[in-house]
Amino acid sequence: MAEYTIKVRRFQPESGEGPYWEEFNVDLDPSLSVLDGLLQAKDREDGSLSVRCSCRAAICGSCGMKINGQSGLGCKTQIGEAQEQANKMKAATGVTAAEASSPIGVQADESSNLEGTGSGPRTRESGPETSGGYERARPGAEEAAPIVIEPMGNMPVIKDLITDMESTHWTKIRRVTPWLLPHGDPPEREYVVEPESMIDITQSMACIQCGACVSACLSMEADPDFIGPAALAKAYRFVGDPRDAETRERLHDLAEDPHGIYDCTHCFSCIDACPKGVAPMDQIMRLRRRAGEEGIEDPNSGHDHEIAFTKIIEKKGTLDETLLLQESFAPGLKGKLKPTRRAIREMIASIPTAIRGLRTGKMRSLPKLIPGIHPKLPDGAQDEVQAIYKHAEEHREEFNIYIRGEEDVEPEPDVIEVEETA
Amino acid sequence: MGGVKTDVDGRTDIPGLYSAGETACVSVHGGNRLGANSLLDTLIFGKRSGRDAAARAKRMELARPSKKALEDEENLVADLISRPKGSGRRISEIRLELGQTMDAKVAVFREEAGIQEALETVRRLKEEAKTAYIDDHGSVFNQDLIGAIELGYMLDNAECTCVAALERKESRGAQYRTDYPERNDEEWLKHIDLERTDAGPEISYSEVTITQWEPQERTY
Repeated sequence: MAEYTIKVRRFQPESGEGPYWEEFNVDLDPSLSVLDGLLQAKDREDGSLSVRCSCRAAICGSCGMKINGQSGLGCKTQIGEAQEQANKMKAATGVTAAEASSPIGVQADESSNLEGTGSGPRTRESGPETSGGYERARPGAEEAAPIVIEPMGNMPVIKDLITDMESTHWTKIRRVTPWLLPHGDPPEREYVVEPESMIDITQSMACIQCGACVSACLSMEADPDFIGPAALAKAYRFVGDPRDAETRERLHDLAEDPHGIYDCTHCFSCIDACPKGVAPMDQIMRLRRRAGEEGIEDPNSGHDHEIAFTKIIEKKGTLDETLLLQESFAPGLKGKLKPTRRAIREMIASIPTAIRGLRTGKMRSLPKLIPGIHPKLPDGAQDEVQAIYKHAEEHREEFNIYIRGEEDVEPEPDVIEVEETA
Repeated sequence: MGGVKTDVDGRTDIPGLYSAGETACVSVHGGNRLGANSLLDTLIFGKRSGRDAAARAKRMELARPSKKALEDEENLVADLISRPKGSGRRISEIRLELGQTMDAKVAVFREEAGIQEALETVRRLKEEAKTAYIDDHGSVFNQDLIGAIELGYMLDNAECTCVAALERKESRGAQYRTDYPERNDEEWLKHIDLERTDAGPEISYSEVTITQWEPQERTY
C-alpha cells in the first residue's frame, strides 16, 4: 500500500460554477490503477465524483481521461507509474500537469459558463470532510507531485471526468460508414477470405472506441470538424477489407472532404495515446497511400512530395532540397515548368520559408538554392543506392513502421546484401 | 449455472420480459458453464430471444405502466436523493461489505456455517440499505444514485445465491461444498428455482431435461 494525492479537474454542471481542482488522498497498492484510485476517492470521500468505467481491464473503452496531461485509459495506467511520471514532469519543468493545463475555455461546452479566463481552474482548498478518520496529510511526501487527472480533451465536459463523446466521436464514426459494403448477395454461409488478406486491418480492428486519440489530436484542436484519428482508423478498417466493394468511393469521399485524411499533421499524438496499439495516424497514412494509388490529387502535394523524395535519392543518393521543393509541386520538369496553378501558389507561398532558412542559417549556400547543382555520391556509390532500389522493388512489401510492442517477427538482418546485384 | 430462468426463446415468467446472455439461465450448461460456452447464450439464445421479442412486440400494444407505478419509482429516487448525510451508512460501505462477505464465504469453497453467516450479513445489509445515503443530490449523470439502486439488486442476488447454496447439500459444477464434497444425483439432480416474495426467496424445484449427454463425473 502507498499513499497518493490525485488532483482532479472537476466540474459540477448544476452548481452554476466553473471547473475547479480538487485533491484527494488515496491509499492503494502501486500496481493498482489510476481508476482504482479515483473509485476509492469516490467510495470513501465523495460519491459525486463522476467517472465512466465498466470493465476495469482495458477492453470496454469507458474510462478515457488525461493523466498528467497524457490521454489514455484510467484502468490501464498504474497509479505508481503515474506518480513517477508526475514527479518526473515536476522535476523537469518545475510545474505539474495541472499548472500546465490548458485554460478551461478550450474544452468547455459553449453552452456552459466555462468560457476561459485563461488562468485555468481554480482550486478548492478544503475538500469534503473525510470519513473514518482518514488522514489527509501525507507525512514525508513533500516532494511528490500530485497525479493530475482531467477529462479528455477536444470534447465538451458533462460532469467531472465524463465527456460528451456524441458530437466529437460517435458522429464522426458514423460519418465514415463503419460497416461492410459488399457487392452482390451475401453468401449462404460466412464470407471466406484468406487470413493473410485480413492481417493489414487487424490493427485498426483493435480499436475499443475509448476516444483517447481524439482527446490527444492536435489537428482536431485546430479544426473541430476534422474527421479525426478514431474515425479514420475505422475507415481504414473497411478500405483495407478485401470483402468491401466500395473502396474507391470511400477513398474519394475521405480525400475530398476538406476535413478528411489530409487534415492530419502527422504529429504522432494519437499513436502515443492509443491504449490498444491501433496507431491511428498510421491508418491515416495508409488511407493517403491508397488514395495516391487511386490517382486522387492530394491538396498538400504530399503524394508528389513522397515520389519526388524517392526519385531524388535514387538519382543522387542524398537529398537535393531545392529540387525536392520544385519536384514536389511541379513534378517531371526539365526546364519546362508546367506546374498547376495551385503548385505555383504554394511555391510562392514557400518563398518566406526559404528566406527564413537563409537568415537562420539552415540554408547555407546560395548555389544550393539552385535546383540540380547538388552533387551525386562519389565513386560509384550511386550504383549501390540504385541496387537497393532495385532490391526493394523486387521484394515489395508493405510494412508498418509504427507497430509497437512484442511481435513474432524475425529480426531484420543488419546488413543489406547488395553485392550480387550491384 | 444460475440466472434468470427462461425458455428456449428467452421468455421469462413475466409476460413480455426476455432474458438472454450472462443474465439468463436456459439450462443448457448444467452445473457449470465451461469456457467459451457463453457464445451459445449470446449467439443462439440472443438471436432467438430477439426474434421472439420482435414478433411479440408486433402483436401487442405498448405497455403503459400505471401512474402509481411511476410515482412509486419517483418516490424511490426522491427518497434516495433526499436522505441526509449521516442518516445511516454510506452506500459504498455497504457495497464493500457485501463484496467482501460474498468473496470470503460464498465463493469457491462453501460450507454451511459460512453461507449461513453470509446470509445473515446480507439480510442485515438489506436493512441498512434502507437508510443509507448518497453524496450526489444532482440530476445530471448521478452515478451515486445508480449505485444505490444497483446495490438493492446486488443484495437481492446475493441473498438468492446464499439461499440456493445453502439448500443444495452436495457439490456439483461451480458449487463446491466442503461439508458435502460429493455429487449426489439421487437427491440433487434437479434445479432449485427461487421466486421473490416479501419474506425472501421462496424455494421450489424443477426437473432437469437430459437429452444427448448424460451428466458425468468431472475427472480432470
